[in-house]
Amino acid sequence: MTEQATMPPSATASLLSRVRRTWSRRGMPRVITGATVLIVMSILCFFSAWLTPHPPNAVDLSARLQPPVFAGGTFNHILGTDELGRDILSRVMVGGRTSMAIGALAVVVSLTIGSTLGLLAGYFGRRLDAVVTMLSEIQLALPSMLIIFFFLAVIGPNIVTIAIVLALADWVLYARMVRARTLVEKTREYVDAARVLGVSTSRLLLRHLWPNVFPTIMVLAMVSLGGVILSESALSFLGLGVQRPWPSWGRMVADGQSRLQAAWWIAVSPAFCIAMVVFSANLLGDGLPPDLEGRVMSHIKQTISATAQSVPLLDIRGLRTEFRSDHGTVRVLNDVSLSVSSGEVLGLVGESGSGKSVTALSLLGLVPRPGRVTQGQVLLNGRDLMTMDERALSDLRGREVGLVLQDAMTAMNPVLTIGQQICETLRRHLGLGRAQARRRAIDLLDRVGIPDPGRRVDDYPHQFSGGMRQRAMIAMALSCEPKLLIADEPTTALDVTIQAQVLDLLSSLKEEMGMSLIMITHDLGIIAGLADRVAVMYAGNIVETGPVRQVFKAPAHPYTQGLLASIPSITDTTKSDLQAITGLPPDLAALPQGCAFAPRCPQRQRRCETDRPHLIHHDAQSAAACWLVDPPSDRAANSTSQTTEPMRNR
Amino acid sequence: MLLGAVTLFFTLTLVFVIIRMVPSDPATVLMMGEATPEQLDRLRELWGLDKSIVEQFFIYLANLVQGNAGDSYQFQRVAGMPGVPVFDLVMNRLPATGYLALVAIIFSMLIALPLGILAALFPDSILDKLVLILASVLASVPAFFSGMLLMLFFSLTLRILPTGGYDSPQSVILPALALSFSFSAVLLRVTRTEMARIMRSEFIQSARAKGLRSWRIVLVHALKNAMIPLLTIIGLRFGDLLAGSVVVETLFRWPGIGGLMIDSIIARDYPVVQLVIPLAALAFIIVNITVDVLFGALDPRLRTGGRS
Amino acid sequence: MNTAATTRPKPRDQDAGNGHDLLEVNDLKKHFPIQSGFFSSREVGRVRAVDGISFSIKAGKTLALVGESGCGKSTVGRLLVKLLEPTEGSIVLNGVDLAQASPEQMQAMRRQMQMVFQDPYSSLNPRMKVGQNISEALTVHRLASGKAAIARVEELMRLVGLDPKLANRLPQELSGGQRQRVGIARALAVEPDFIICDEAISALDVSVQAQVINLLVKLQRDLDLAYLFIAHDLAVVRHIADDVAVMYLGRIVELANSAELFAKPLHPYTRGLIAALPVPDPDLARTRKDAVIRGELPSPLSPPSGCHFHPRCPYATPICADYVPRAEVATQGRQVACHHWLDIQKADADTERTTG
Repeated sequence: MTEQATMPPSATASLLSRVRRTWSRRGMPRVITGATVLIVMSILCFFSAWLTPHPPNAVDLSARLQPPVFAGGTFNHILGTDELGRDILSRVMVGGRTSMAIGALAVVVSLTIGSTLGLLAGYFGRRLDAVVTMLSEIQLALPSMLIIFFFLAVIGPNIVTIAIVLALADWVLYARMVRARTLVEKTREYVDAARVLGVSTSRLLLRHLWPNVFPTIMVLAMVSLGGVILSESALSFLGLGVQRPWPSWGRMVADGQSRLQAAWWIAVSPAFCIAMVVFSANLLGDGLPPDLEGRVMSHIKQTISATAQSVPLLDIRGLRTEFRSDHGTVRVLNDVSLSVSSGEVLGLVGESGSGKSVTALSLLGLVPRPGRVTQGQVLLNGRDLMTMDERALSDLRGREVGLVLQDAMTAMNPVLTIGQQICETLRRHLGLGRAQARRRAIDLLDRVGIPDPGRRVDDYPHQFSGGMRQRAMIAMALSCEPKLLIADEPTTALDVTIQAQVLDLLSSLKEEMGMSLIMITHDLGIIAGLADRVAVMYAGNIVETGPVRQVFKAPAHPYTQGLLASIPSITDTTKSDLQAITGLPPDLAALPQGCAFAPRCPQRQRRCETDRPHLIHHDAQSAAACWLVDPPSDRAANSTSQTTEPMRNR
Repeated sequence: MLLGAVTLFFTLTLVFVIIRMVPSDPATVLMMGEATPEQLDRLRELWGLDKSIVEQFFIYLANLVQGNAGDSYQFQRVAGMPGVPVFDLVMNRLPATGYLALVAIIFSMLIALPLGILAALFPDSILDKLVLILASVLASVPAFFSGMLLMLFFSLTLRILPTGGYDSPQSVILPALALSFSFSAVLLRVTRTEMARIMRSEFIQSARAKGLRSWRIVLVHALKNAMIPLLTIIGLRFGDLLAGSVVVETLFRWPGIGGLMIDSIIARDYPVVQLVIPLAALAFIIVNITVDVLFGALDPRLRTGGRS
Repeated sequence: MNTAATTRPKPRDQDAGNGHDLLEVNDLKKHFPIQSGFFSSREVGRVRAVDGISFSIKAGKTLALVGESGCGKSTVGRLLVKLLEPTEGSIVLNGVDLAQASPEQMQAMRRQMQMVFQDPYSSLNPRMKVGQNISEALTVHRLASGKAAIARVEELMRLVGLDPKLANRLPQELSGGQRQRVGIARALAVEPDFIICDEAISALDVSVQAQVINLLVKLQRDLDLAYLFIAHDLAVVRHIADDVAVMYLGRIVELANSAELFAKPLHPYTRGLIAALPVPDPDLARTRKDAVIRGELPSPLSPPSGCHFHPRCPYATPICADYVPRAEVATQGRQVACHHWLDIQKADADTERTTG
């Protein structure tokens, strides 16, 4: 009994050592506090036979109803005595043995049964899965605690029956969670890889699936430990728990009820113990990471997937955005300066983590927590957005600047119709009435090429195909005819043929409405086909900007050069090696002191490693942040005239 | 629906069989050892306990279908005569429990929704941390103890609310509060987690990018999505509420079916137990079917017949 | 049969140009039944994810399988390694028909054929160290253990350009490109002749893509590997493949030598795909705006009758809706499944003559 009861904390400890590296430190204090309290209380309770200051049932009528030491009592009876003069501390320690033993036993039994069934059902599926699912559905459709009350009243409670009955109520939770988790893990490619290697089924289950499923149920185990202890105390309170002479916490509270006013400590001490154990178990469960990779990854992805901007319609100067976390500050945008003129298409290129999406969000004041714009100006038509309050900014979003995101499925609210989502913008900014807004929404859908818009306006996003959804998203962003549209990887999730259609749509709408467009993408091909000017981002900096033809034909920055050389071309008939950029994309949390690209740069010089280059114009239209690029005087004369003119009157 | 019917039948059978598995029989328990063997036999015959268990089961089912759940063993108008019809007994008590559960759910929502939403809007703030601690505390204190504390404070010390019973409109407040605490802990947690998750999602980002007012973003865009998991959890945890009501009803002397159930189990009052527990299961099933129906209304993805 | 599975021929000795067919796939089909009903599982329809495709790959060569989402290209890859059981057809690798192979034979065949997966974040077991991820193949096939296994893992890591010190790291501590190299090392551990790359580079950043493509090309040269390269990025395919098969809704619509296919696509769908591809050259990009394919991808649940492509095809005539076009041999080693390919080819020739 003792070993089982102390198992959860120690299993937790070993788990901890394994995951420490990947896991944010945030949960740590909770886990330490929870585990410490549980361990201390377990020791006190399970070794109570040796530790109690008084025999728990020793009656001492001379010391009846003594208050605890902190309420005027003596150190002899630290928590006071009851109406028979029995020492409450001793009784609480002995009583806890029952509660904690039942809790631990029930958790071990239900975890074992539930997770085994869940793993097998999830992996093998078919009949076994059908049976397990059916059983669990039936059990979940029952008010299980009521049935437990009934069971125990009938069977006659003792530690083992109570533990087993409570375990039977909980196995379903483990089985369902493990099954669901297994179904997810099963589709991960490492499982396929193992099968392709010829790994046996038992090895697959034990070596691959189980270690990945197990951590998630530790959280559940902790939470249900608390639940079991609460249930047991409720049973005892009702007189259906473990019978005397052993006091259990619930029973002690019930006994103390009648003297609540005169001698509150009789009921409060055991009740406090119940609450402490349950609280610590929950704390421990909370602190454990529910989905290790998931949490870390999504955090990183989120941090990275935020960027964009541009113009003399829009003029961004020295924008800096930082994310603060427990691990320190990550500067996602370092010093971004950009401009977009009226009617211009600016292509913002970069790899993941370069800061292109964060640029977009920063300029709209939408950087997700814990990110913050720490310096810089964003001038839209001369007004600085950074000095505006949230209200003024929101008047401007959707009205003067529209945003199209990559995946319309997640970027649209799944429970509102397409029409509602377009109308709310129209009503908010243009003050249209319900009917007017609806008519306008249908027009817009028609304009972006959605067939039968009068009917489809009432569809929900999931009823649209991917391409149609992206068109609807564009309609939504353009509903108030903004002067600037920011499209963040608007076609990345689409198939090639659909992508071509959406790009065509964007470019014709841009002409029609005469708006400016910031096109954020990693695909240089899209930029080449659509943009007037390009800005290339690397590690939170603009490293090069200029007219599209010039940047593509004569890139000035070594990173741009490398990027262009590294993509295979469909017109290239040789099968020689690609000119890959060596090394890895930079870690934003540990940028080198000098140029962020220096470690990968083939033309690196000593200066590049110590000083960070700034964006310097090498002609009227173009600028690059590189020490190797010639100062303006050398090149301006012969390159500007040819490269920029055709762009303007296209 | 089908699953509900299967479950209900399963419950009926389970309760019927289990209660008969125990050695002590109702006649002995009721007469408390003061009857002759002949008297006991006569009682058993009166209650039909002399027949085989299969026979008893079919009689029970047949009667139940006709709306007759039998007569209580322990509650008798005249000693030795057939007892009060169980159906009347239970129907007398049912409204009290229903009322208690309903008020408790309303209290829970009043506690959980505003706090949960606020916490989610300011993740990792002091407010958020306080709300999380509150949720943990609410979840950790057993209902019978929070009930006792409420009683001590409001009834015995302040003397503004009754300690129990069912006499005045105010008497529901304390039991419903005690019952709502652990339930609101669950709702609070779900509201906070779901709202925080939803507020981070892209569609909220695009709603903000459209320049919508923040109240509309929170109350229309986010809350409507959060209602889906909230309803699920209300349905799943409704059983806990019923179980909690047993404890709370006992503590506050609330005349609901919870107290009746415990008394009847201890007295081996078969007919009462055989009606009360399946009835609780039925209530649970109905709540969950309602939740499923509401899902369809809230989540268009679950409606059939998409057009795409 | 058994000997074919265990003693491995050395394709390197043969003339690469006329190498034998390492893999021959014939009339391969995979249909997924759609079932309904609670108690019975009545089949109410089937998705013909792969609907009778045939191709072959020579030792040391690369066949690319391209197409848009839902065309069935990934299903083909999974059928070849028996992650899915084929509904019909044969998959003959080194003389053994995998579709008929016993579990023991299949286990042996797994040493000749491996797979590199798309997602470098999910294709490695996150709870096993990098070294363990690679060495598992050695353990399972009893190729090496103890010190020999460690040495072999080091050798493999060097082969794919990884620092062997990384063996003790967990996969999540590596970057996407590094993880993909680990995935390649794992596949190479059993010394296969044939590797299926299922969108193996599409999840990587542009600058890292090029590194991995170069690595794959180098490994092919050094180890005489054959690849089935499943991808949607035509530019990458153009660079890496010897032959290309274009799939549309479960069928191969065109199969040709890579250079010929890109120079003169015959099938209207292939033409559309190539035209839709963004070209990273501002001058070219702005002149090639003509042939955007209309319409949406149809649902694989209810594909259009006849030629699946006909509702989107600019050349479609009534015959296309009524009859499934057969794969016709256009030139040596070149197949196209279109009723009108000859007309299209002729029209092309005419335009060329008039403009040229």
